[in-house]
This record gives sequence, C-alpha cells and structure tokens, in this order.
Amino acid sequence: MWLERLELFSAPGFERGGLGLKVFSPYINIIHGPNSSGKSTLLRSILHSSKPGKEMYLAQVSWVTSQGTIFFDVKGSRRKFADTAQETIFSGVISSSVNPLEYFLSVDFLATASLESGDVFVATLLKELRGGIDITVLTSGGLLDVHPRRLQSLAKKVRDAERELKKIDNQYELLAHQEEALTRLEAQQRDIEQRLRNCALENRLDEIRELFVRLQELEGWIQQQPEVIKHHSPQTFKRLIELEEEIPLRRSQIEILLERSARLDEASQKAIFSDPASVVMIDTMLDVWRNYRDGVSEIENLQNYLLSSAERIRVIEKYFFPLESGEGSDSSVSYPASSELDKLDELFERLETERNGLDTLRREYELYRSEPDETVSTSVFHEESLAALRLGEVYQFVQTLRENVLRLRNMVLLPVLAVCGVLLFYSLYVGEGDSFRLGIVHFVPVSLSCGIFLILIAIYILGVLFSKNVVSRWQGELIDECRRLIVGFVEKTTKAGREARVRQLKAGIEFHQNNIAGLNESIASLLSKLGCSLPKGNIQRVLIVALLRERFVLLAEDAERKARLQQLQKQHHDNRLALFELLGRILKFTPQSISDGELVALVSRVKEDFPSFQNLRLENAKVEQQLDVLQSGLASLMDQQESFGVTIDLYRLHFGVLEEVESTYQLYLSRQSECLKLKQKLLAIEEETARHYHIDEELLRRKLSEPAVNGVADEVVDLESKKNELVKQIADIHFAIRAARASHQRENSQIVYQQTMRDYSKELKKSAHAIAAQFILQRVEKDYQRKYSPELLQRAAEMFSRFTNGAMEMRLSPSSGGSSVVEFWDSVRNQCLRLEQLSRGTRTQALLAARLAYLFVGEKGESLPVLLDEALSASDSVRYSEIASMLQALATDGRQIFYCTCRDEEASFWRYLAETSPGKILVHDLASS
Amino acid sequence: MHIWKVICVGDLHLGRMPGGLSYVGNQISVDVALTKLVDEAIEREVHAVCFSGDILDRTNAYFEAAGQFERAVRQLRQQGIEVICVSGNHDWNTLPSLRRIFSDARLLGGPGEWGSFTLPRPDESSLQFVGYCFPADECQTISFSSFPQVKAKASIGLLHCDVGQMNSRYGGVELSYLTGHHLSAWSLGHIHKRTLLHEDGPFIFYSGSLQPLHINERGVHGAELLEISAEGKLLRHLQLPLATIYFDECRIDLSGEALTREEVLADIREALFTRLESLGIDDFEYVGIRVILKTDEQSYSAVESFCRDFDYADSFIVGRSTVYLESLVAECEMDVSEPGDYERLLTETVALLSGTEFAEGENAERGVTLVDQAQELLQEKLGQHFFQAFSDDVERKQDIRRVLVEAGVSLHARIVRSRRGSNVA
Repeated sequence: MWLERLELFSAPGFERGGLGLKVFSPYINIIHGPNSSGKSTLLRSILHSSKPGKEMYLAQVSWVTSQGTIFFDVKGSRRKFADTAQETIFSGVISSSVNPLEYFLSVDFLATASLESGDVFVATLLKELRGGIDITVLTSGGLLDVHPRRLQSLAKKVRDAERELKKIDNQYELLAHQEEALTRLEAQQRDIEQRLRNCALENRLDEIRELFVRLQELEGWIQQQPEVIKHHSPQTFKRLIELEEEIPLRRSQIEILLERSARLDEASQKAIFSDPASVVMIDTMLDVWRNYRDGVSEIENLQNYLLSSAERIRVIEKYFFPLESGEGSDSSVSYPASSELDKLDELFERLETERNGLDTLRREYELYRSEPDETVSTSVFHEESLAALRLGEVYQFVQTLRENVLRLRNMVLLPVLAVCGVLLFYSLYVGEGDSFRLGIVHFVPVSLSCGIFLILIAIYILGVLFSKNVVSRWQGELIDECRRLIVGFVEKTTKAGREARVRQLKAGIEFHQNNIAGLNESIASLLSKLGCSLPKGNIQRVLIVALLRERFVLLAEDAERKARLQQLQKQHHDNRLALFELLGRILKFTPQSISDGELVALVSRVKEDFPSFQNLRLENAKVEQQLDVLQSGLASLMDQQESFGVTIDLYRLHFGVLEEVESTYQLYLSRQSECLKLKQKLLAIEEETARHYHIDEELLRRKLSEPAVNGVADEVVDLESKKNELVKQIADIHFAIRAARASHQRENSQIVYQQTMRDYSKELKKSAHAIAAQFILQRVEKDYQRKYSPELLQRAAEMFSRFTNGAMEMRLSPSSGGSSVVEFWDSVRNQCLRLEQLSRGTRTQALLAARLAYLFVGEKGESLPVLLDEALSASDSVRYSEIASMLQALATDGRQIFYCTCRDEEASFWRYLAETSPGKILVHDLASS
Repeated sequence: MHIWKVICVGDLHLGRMPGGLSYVGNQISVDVALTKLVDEAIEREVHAVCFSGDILDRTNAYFEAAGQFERAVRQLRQQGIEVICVSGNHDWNTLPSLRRIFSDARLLGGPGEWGSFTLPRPDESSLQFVGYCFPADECQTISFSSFPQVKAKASIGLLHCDVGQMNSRYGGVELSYLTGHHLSAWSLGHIHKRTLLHEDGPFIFYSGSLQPLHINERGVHGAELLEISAEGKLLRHLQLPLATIYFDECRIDLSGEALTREEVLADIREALFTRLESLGIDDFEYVGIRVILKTDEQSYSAVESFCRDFDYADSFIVGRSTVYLESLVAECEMDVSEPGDYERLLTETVALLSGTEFAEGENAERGVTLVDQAQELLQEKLGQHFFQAFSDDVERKQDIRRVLVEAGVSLHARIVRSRRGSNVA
C-alpha cells in the first residue's frame, strides 16, 4: 500500500500557508527543506491520514492498495471515502498490525530512549529467550569468581621466594667469582712468601758467612796436615794406626776363646758317661730291653687270657658238674672227648625227633578224645573234603578238554586229510599229462604230496592216541585220587574208623615213649662217663653239647698257654738279669737286687741321656781342636805384641819426632771434629731455614756472594702483615666454599619456592578455570543466540551489523533475575555496551535496524510506508550509504519510503542516487515548492 | 675368568628437588639416592661407576651439587673404585671447570670432544671407556669423526644424546651410529626413563634418572649394573633400584555415587592401599602418587571442590613406605544423552576443545581460535605468571586447552546437576 497523493491546506508555520498537492513515488520519497519548511508536518499528516483523529491539515488523500486506489476528502476534520467498501479496506489494513508509520516516525524522538521498556521488539524477544537455564546455578560456588587480592598476596609470596632463590644464586655467583679470584690471591701469597724467605735469608747471612770462612780455614789446614805427617814418619804412623786397631781386636778374640774353652771343659766334666765302652754296651742293652718289654707284655696277655678262660670254665662247670670246680677240672676226662660229645649230640637229636612225633600223635589223640563220637567234625576233615571237591573240578576240566580235543580233531584234521587225499589222488591220476595239471599241482611234486599226506596221517594217529591214552590215564589217576580221599574221609567220619585210628595213635604214643626213655638212659650214661650231670634248669640240648665242647677246648688250650707262659717267664727272668748287669756296667754300680720300677727308670734315663751325650762328645772333640788352634794363635799374638813394643821403643829412641807426630795427630783429630761440628751447625742452620722458607742451595750460594743487605726488617714486617691479610682472605673464601658445598641452602630455598609456587599455581589454576569458564560461557551464549535466538533479533542483528559494516554486533544477554537486555558488542574496542552507552548515530542505527527487522516479522497484510524524519543525519558516510542501499532494497521489494531531511548534502546524495536509478527515488524540495 | 663389574648411572640432576612434593623436604633429594649408589658400589665391589651427563643441575651446579658429587667421588675413590664421567646439556660448562676439585674422577674429553680412558689389569685384559662431553646447552648433532681408537676387548661408551631424534636440540644420534662402533655397551643419558634400545651386539640403554624428578617419571628408577667378561661379552645386566621415591598414578572410579567428603577420603585410602600392595614396592621409603578421581556429572562439582581444598601435607603409611599425594585431579565424562540445546552447545564446545570431536576443517580452526582467544584473555587477566609453568608455545596451548576443557566440564556438570537435582553434599 502506498500513498499516491496528498493535499494539505493552511498548515501553520508555512509562509505561503500550505504545501499544496503532492504526488509521491511508490518507492523512495526524499522530502528536503530547511527547518520549519513543513517536513515534519507533512509526515505527521501522512500519519494522520492513516488513522482517524485530528486531520486538520489534510484536504485530499489517495492511497494505492492491492485492491485498488482509495481516495478520500477530509472535510470538517471528517474523513470521507469514495464509498464504504474503500473505508472498510483502509481501516482493515491499518489495524491489522502495529502501525509502522507511527513506529518509525518515533525513531527520531525515541533516539535517546531504551529498547527495554514497553518496546514491542524486546517484549517479543524475551518470550523466546534461553532454554530455562538459571544463570545463578553457574555462578554459584565461586566457579566464575576470580580473587585478585588473594592472587596478588600469593604472587607476592612467590616473588619473595623467588627473590630468596635469586639471592642465594647471587651469593653463589659471587662466591664463584671469589673462587676465580682465589687463584690470583694464592699467587700473591706465594710471591710474598718468596720475598719473606729472601728477607729471612738476608737476616742470617752474616752468621752463615762467618761460619763458612772458619770452615774454609779449617778445611785448608786439615788438607795440609796429612802431608806433613806423611812426610815425617809415614811407615811408623801407618803401622801405629794399624796396630792400635789390631791389638784390642786380638785381645778380645783371645778372651772369648779362653772363656769358651773353660765352658767346654766344664761341660765335658759334667758328662754322665765317662766310660767310652759303655756306648757299645748301650746298644746291647737296648736290644735286651726291647725283648724284656715284649716278654712282659706277652706274659701279661697270657695271664689275662688264662684268667678269663678259667672264669669261663668255672661258669660252665657250675652248671654241669656236681663236684667242686677245682676238682672237676683236674679229675675230668681229658681232652679230646669229641667222639663222646658227637654221640651225645646225636642222642639229643634223636630224642628231639621222638618228642616231636610223640607230640603230633598226642595232639591228634587229644582231638579225638575231646570230640563226641557221634558227630562228624568238619573242622578236622574240612581240608580233605575241599581237596576232594577240587579234584572233582579238575576231573571235570580234563573231561571237557578231552571232548574238545576230539572235536578239534574231527573238525580240522579230517577235512585237511580229505583235501590232501583228493590232491594226492588227482596228482596220481593225472600222471604225465601236462595239459591237465592245475597251478598248485604243477609245482608240487608227487613225492612231496605223498610225504605231506603221510605226515598228516601220522599226526592224526598220534592225536587219536594222545586223546585216548594220555587223557584217559590222567582221568584215571584223578579218579583214583578222588576215590582214595573219599574213602579216607568216609573212614575218618565213621565210628569204626575213629576207633581204629585211636588205637593206632595209642600204639604210636607208647612206642615213642619207650624210645624216649631209652634215649634218656643213654644220654645219662654218656654224661656220667664224661663226668658231668644234666643241670636242673631247662637248658637246650644244643647249648649243653656246645658248652661242654667249649669247656674241653678251653682246657686243652689253657694247657698250651701255661706251657708257653712258663717258657716266657723263664726267658724274662734271664733278660732281666742281663739288663741289670748291663746297666750296672754302664752306670757304674755294683749289681744288687733291684725292683722292676727302678730298672725301668734307669733304662729310660739311659735312653734319654744317650743322644745328648753323643752330641756333647762330638762338640767336646771340636772344642778341644779349636782350643788348640786358638791357644797357638794367642801365643803368636803375644809374640807380635812383644815385638811391637820393642819397635815402638826403637822409634822412641831413634826418632825424636814421635811425640810431635802424636801431638800433631791429636790436633788434627780435634780440628777435624771441630770442622765436623761447624759443618753440622751450618747444616742445621740451612735445614732450619729451609724448613721454614725452602731455600735452595743455588740461592744460598748466590746470596753469599752478594754484599750484606741492611734494613730488611721493615720490609719483613710489612710483608708479614700483607701475607696475614691474604691468608685470612683465602681462608675466608675457602671456608665459604666449603660451607657452600656442604650446605643445602639453595635446595631448601627451592623447596620453599616450590611450595609457594604450588599454592600460587593452585590459585592461578582456580582463577584460570574461572576465567576459562566465563569465556566458555560467553562463547556458548553467543552460539546459542546465533542458533536459537528469535528471528526478530537475528534480522535486527543482521541489519545492524550491515549498517555498522561489521564493527558492531547486536545481541541479547541474560541478566540476573531471568530478564534480558539488548547489548551491543563493539568488536573494535572489544567491549559490550548498553543502548544508552552508544553514540547517537549508532543508537539511531540500532533502533532503525530493530524496527526494520520488526517490519519483516511483525507486519501482516499490506506493506505500509516507512516514515523517517532526520533518522540518518547522525550517520557517517559509510554507514549512510549502507542504510541507503538497504532502504533501496526495501523500496524495490514494494515498500514506500518517506525520508525528511534538512541537509543539502543528503538531498544531493539522494538526487545522485535518483539519477543512477531513475523512477525509483523522488526528491521533493519544499523550499522550492 | 675375570669379570668387569661397572655401575652405569644416567641423569642425576644433583641440586634439583623432585617436583610436586616440595612439602616432603630434603628426604627425597637426589643426594640421598647418590649415597645409596655409593654404598651399593662399595658393597658389590665394582670396578667403576660411570655417569652419562647431567650430573649437576644447571640451576644449582656450582657449590651444593658439586659438594655432594665431590663427597661421593671421594668415598668411591677411597675404596679404589674408578669414577668416569661425561657432561650433559645441564653441566656442559660446570663439570669441566670442576676438574680441579674432582681430581680423582675421570672426565672423558673436553666440551665437544671424545675422550678415552683404559682401566688396566695385571693380566693385560683391560676395560676401555670412551665418552663425549656435551659442547653447549644445545647441540644439534654429535660428530663421530674423532671417535677414539678402541683397543681393549671390553669397552663401554658414555654419551648424552637423544637417540633417533635427528632434529633434537639435545644431540640427535641415529641408533645405527652406536651399533656401528663395536663396543660392549653404550650407557646413554638425557632420557629420564629406563629404556633398553639394543640388546644383541652392543648393549645400548638409557639407565634413566637415578631419582625420579617429576610425577611423570613413574616406575622404578636407579642405576644399571653391567658384568662384562674380559673378552668384552656382556654377561649380565641388572637394574639396581636405588631411588628412594616411587612415582605413580592411581585412578579411582567414584561415578554413580553421592559421596560425602569422608567417604571420598575413605575410598582414596582404600584404593591407595590396593594399588600399592599390587605394585609390591616395599623397598621404597617414599611414594609420590597422583590420584585421579573419575566421577560423573552428578558428583563432579563436589569432587572437584574436594580436590581443590585437599590438604596435600597429609601422608599415608603403607607397609614400609610413606605415601604422599602429589595432586588430586577430578575427571568427568560428559553424558550427552538427550541434552537441552544449551547443554548440547556446551558439550560441543568442550568436545571441540578437547579435540575428541569436530577436530577437522573449520571446527579445528574454531578450536584453535578459541584457544588463542582464551590465551589472550588469561594473559590479560592473570599476567605472565600463569604462563611461566609452560616452557614453549605448543605446551602452553595444550595446557590452555586443558584448562578450558576442565572449566567446560565443570560448567556442564553444574547445568546437568541443576536440571536433575543432586544429593551431593
């Protein structure tokens, strides 16, 4: 629907009293004129024409709709349509939706107002907003909270810890520099010490120099003296020195030899065996001694054995011999009595057999007696009956076996025999005719066939014989055995049989008893012959004979031993006498009676002393030999000594210089010792100095050649103080380095730093989470809005973004309490602004975008014109052209647009656009009309 | 037959404290493990102890760490045990300067040079060590042109390098370079985890750090004992567990339960006991453990708040070990069944950030943009301190992404909780 014509009259503010008739473009109408030229009046008139009310300046209005042109006059403030149908159409279109005419006209006036209250745009948005999520849920519990103060406090702690760490690092760095400097300081110290050494040397230089001079003098004198001495008495002096050394040596040797000779004499005199012949006798004595000892031990063994044997015989005789053991052993039958003993053994054996037979018969007899005559005792005959039954089974088995053998013979042997017979017959019958021979026959000669046939016949006959004779014999034997057993069984079980058996048993018992009595008598007589009797106790037969035999053996052996003992005792006696005599000769004592113990003691003494005696003898011989040599040497030495004394006297007499020589020699010695002392002293000084200051010989020699240096004391003091200072510094650095090496200062500080850093990181992380959560929430909100925001907002945001060339963004943000506000995101400044915070131009553009969006969403039915009064005057050129192109697009879509402006440049802009798209834009210049 | 016994030690980093458990104090310092190493070497009567670089940490190299190392060297030398070292990227400049102090220890070569030392024996069988000292704190390649001549049958190479990483800044070396030199063994440094690279032919291995220095250095740490025959054949190798601390991670599933604070604590205790018993690590005096509490959206907020307010100075005694918690981390898997539009958008955003979904094309760019924007925001609001923990940009981006995901999960959990209602205390 668009406004085609409009006629106004007597509108106030116009100099000419009216705007007159205006014909409009269905697209864009730009109404240009200065202020108070009637632009707003014109727009208000258009607005008034669309709804009933005051229509004071309107004269005629013509609207073009889809249903035709509606023309009406306004007379006396009353609207008069051409017909009623037109009036109905017009009012229907106008009331079908919120009137955009009024809505857009208010843009200019509402430019400073909010979109919140009473705005249909916001009200529509709020209905659709969000999925019912309560924003307080997300913000509770401090999830989105950042605590800058806490963070700052922790950061401060971290900085402190970091500073402490840095401080230690700095300390260590400094120490490292000091360590480097240490080398320099130590070099300085070494330098000072060297200088100090030089000074010390110079201090003692005079003393050393003096000592050297004296030493040199002495050494010079000493070097001259031997020449003087040699010149005067070279041979005498030399011999003197030699003899003075030799005489004491010889004397001491003589003394030693004399002493040793005396000692050996004494030892020789102390020897036990003064007679050398005794040495030979000792060997004989030792042989006799060995025999004597062996004899003694053998005698002891024999005696012991005889004792134990006598004891054993006594025990045996105690059992068997009624007489006293002493008499029994002497008067008993002499050994050997083996035949009697063998006979006794045999009798006892027979007696045992008889007794066993008697016992068997008695047991059976007792059995008969203990059981009643009428009953048949199964216990007695059980075994026999079982045996009979087993024999019956065996008989059955043999019978079956026989039958089977016969059957087998008939089944196997007869057919084979038949086949062989046929083959034989065939081969014999066919004869020499080759054409009739069969395969097998061809290879089997006639003789072999006959042989096989005959063997089979023989086997058959043997089988028949075996089955008949052998099996029949086995069968017969079995039957006989069974019969015998059964007959015995029957005999035993019948009364007559029992009685006969009892009789037999009685006779047998009697027989055995007689035999036993006879045997007992024989045994008794034999024993009495042997002189012994049976003991009362129950001793076994075998034991009796064995014991008796042992007794006789023992008696016989004892007789031999006794003879041997007597022989030994005699020999022992002889040995003892011989030994005694030998000892008497060796040890030089008259043989008298002596006990065995004394004899043993004497022999052992001889045995122990003999080796040492032999050694002594050998040594004694050597010593005597040496003594002879030494004594002769001593005599020669004494001669020499005597001759030397004579020589000295001769020198004394003949040369008067000996005294001088001696005194010179003494002086020489004393000076030499003095020289030695000086050297030692010098050495001591050198050592002492060297110990403290490490003086080398070269330096000393050089210093000695220089003149003495004076005034070094001050320098020494100065150097000492410097040195002490350096030493202290070096020690301090060393101490600090050692302390640093042993310390855990930095590690501990690192621990503190890590702890504070951990707390801080924890808080930072918490804050980071909060910020990240806020960030994500914003992003999700944005996405949510983009995807799920109302169409109205989407359109508005789209247009607003286009108007602002993407610099601004319109969106709806949830606020506390569930309400929402329209916000604008300034992407250039990166901040979110409320409507009232926008600049005037931007705010106008935002509102324009909201209203234009509403056109698309809220308007239903005919498209009403859009009235804009100075709405774009605050826009910059870029945004202006964007809005203009937007308006052009709207107009092209069939919407009439009225835009009032007082600005000439705007009018020029629209005129320029009108030229580029002719017929679409009409510029009405009120000033010219 | 004579057998050479040598203990090889990787990165010591003396002077640095193991991170994350600073409240435990000096008991877990590297020095304690070094003392154990010295005792072990003396007890086993080894011939030499070798160090493959990074003996001293660069932050505390000069005095404290040097003092600790000097003490150890002196004790070893008093027992006649040789000490052989090369420098690494941490101590490339400090170790050679301490040569005067460690007069008893053998430093093979100078910075950027190969060096050699032979340990002789009266029967003329000898053990030769070759090694290379790191030339600077960063070094792209290691030159083998001046590799010394190896005369002994038994030989060990010491090198601080990054095997298989030719673009590494810390001495990239191809494994074939090492296998090409016919030594009995190569003891390498730089990688803190024990790794056996090659077992046939030369035995090539990283013995790892003596004492673990970070929670990520899990498992048993210590040194490697090698037994080499006089003919140069490796007879045996054995890890000596000398570290006094054991780092581990423990996951506890708390989902589907509405738990009070005490119940969560009890669950943690029980899980820790079970975990440590299953590990069987009674030899370790201290155990540092990171506990990851897996929850659902219902209880995530409560568990997360529990983690945030937990007092880490509490410790547990399990067997002979004292267990310290390095950190407590709440982890939540988002339930995306039938979400509202708002939750769906949030889930999508978190998934986009976590890189599990939508990680291609436009979405990948969106993810990167989000991380960049978040980085700017965090930098603006928290300053540089927050970023100090991240060494380079890549790591920083990953951490920011992680922070965003955690925050997103937390938000999501809250929304779900508000929708469904929750009994979580």
